Amino acid sequence: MKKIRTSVMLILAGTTTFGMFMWFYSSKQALGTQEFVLLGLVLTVVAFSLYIAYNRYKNEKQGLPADDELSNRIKQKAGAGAFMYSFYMWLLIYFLFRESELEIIVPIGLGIIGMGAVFLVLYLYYSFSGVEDENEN
Amino acid sequence: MKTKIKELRARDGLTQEDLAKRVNVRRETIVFLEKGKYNPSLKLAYDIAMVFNLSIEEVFVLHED
Repeated sequence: MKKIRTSVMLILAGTTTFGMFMWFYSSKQALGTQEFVLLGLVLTVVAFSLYIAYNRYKNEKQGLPADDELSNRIKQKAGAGAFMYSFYMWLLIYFLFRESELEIIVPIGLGIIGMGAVFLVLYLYYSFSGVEDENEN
Repeated sequence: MKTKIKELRARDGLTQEDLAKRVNVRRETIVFLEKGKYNPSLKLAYDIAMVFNLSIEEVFVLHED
């Protein structure tokens, strides 16, 4: 089951990258800053997925579990942090876009990408610094 | 929390990977435990103590008095 999850992550990352490049390749219009920013964000998410998939594969190859209590704790903390900080972010997005004439998909997309970015940053932070002794006084 | 895992591993000639396999966690988890940057669950603490044939309080030190 765990190996299937790693394979699914790799397939999704490959499909997303392939789809993104096909979209850019088949696009008739010249690429602007907005498209390049979007491409950068998608590639960042893909790179993050590949990093996680590589770590999982490395552990599975050594006969170790791909997930354990620490990795689950890191995911929980990063998810909780992304959710908590997103309240401030959505508020900021509301004030920035409340009188904007942009399509509604723009602020919603920004919010979703922002939540993903916060999760990514927190996940990497906890992965490298560890989970502090939160149960100690 | 401080641990004596590193010293005990050296005593028993175990690598981080060996210990990780014995208690079914990733090697990174053993690294963070040795650095004192993660408090394990009671089950993991018990499993680690069992590997070294010691009690939990002999492996994990909460307060050094």
